[in-house]
Amino acid sequence: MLLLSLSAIGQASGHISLRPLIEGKSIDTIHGNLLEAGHCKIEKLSFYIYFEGKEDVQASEVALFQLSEGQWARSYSSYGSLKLGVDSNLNLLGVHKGDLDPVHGMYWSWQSGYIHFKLEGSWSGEGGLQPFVYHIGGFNTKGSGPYTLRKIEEINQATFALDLAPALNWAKARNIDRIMSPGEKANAFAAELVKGFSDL
Amino acid sequence: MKKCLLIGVLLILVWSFKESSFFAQLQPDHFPAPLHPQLELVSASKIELGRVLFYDPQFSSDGMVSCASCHSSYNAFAHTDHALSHGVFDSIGHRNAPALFNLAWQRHFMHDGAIHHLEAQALAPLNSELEMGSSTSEFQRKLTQSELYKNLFAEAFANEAPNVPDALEALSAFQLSLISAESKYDRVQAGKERFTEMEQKGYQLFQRHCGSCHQEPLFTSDQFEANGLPVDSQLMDPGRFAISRDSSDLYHFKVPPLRNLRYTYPYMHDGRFLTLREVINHYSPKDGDLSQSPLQKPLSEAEKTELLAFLKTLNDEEFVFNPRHSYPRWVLSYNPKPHD
Repeated sequence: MLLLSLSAIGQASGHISLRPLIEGKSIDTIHGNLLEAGHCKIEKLSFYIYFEGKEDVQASEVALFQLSEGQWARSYSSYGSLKLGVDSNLNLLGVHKGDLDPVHGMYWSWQSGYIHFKLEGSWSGEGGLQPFVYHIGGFNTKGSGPYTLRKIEEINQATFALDLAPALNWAKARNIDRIMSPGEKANAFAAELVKGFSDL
Repeated sequence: MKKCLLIGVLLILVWSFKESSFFAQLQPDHFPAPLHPQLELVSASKIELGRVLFYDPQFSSDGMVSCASCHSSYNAFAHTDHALSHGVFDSIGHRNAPALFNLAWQRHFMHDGAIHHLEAQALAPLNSELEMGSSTSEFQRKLTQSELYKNLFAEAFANEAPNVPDALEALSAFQLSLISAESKYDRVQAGKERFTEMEQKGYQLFQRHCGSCHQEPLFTSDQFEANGLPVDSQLMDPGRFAISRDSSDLYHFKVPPLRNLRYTYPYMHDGRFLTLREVINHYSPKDGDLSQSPLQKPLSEAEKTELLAFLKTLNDEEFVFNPRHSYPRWVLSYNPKPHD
């Protein structure tokens, strides 16, 4: 299925790079290209990685990764944990500039905060293309994001992988082709995303 | 008795003057006279009530969708990066959510002009199964139950109890207050700034090729035109024809205002173009084939870049980040007082 490699190159120097892979093969993510893997086409993939400050929450950083930009390398300061999504404190403060500027299309609403993770594409099969839209957000209810991927004491690997297969298969098995509101479905989808995060 | 009557008349006159002058304070100098027929009804208290209503999701059937869900202030009241509008229970609509600003200078609302009066517009998404999925009667019921709205209506409408017609007027007042007129283009018009050489060339290209439909300074004619796009086989949207039933209106859509394009992508009535470059390439194809639409014009790649440079001068960051337009955070800490 789909695999995203997230290579942490020397945590001390504060640089992280992500290189998208499909079934283990590297692909170019030139603007406008589609990610294709088997019967699945990915047209849009955007997500926030939250680097929570090791001792000081103020030192936390957020990075937006987007397929359309083809930019999978980011610098960061030291962090205490790695999370998928945007921290609730940031959501409560309102809108921000930079990676959190709503112009990037990741803003959901004041009630639900930023979209943590956005995945759009389609399945191809005998019945033609079956589009799917998964916008995972929410920050103020039980089970909502951001979702912890690694604690600092666990971050000693050089490379991580975010395999999208568990989440996509979970949704496909239940005929869920749209998730655009916070709630149980969004939380369950996110839980599968977290399962797909592993050492490479 | 006569003295009381005179004082009353004077008070009404003073109040009328105050009310009629309220919108005039918002009117940009370089804009034409507004088209909205009842701007004298706009007041600060109605705008604030309208703002609270605009951001309140409780009026949708699943309690998740407000007007602001598809019209975010930080996206020039459009739905950035969402091709089609979203609604209750994760439904998807048929068209791209249009940006909302400078509505006092428009007579037609929605992509097909289905609505002629801004005060009536909110009834459409409220009652649509693909948007808010509610009803007018349910709207009235929820308004009546709210202490917050009892107080806000009393302030805005001289002690009237919450009711749907007044709510629609307040929503209209808020939307009328959304005026975008502080872009670089506007500063150039006011003589406060100058275009760069590239922007100036783009401006001249714009005036020659685009300005007849996207008329300055609002950058729309408020009319309906054929955009020359192939019909989407899934959506099969007939455009203005669905309203007028006039065959000459088939596949005609309202000319969108071109302000704040940085924030309002994707573009066109169905959001099919993610970038402005794609839109320009539609109107000026790279292969030089101009047979698709009479709107298509021959432009070189350099000219397209100049045109883009001009269009960027229409972005109005002051408008997008204006706190008077954003979510009324005071509602979160509102402690209702017992209402008389």
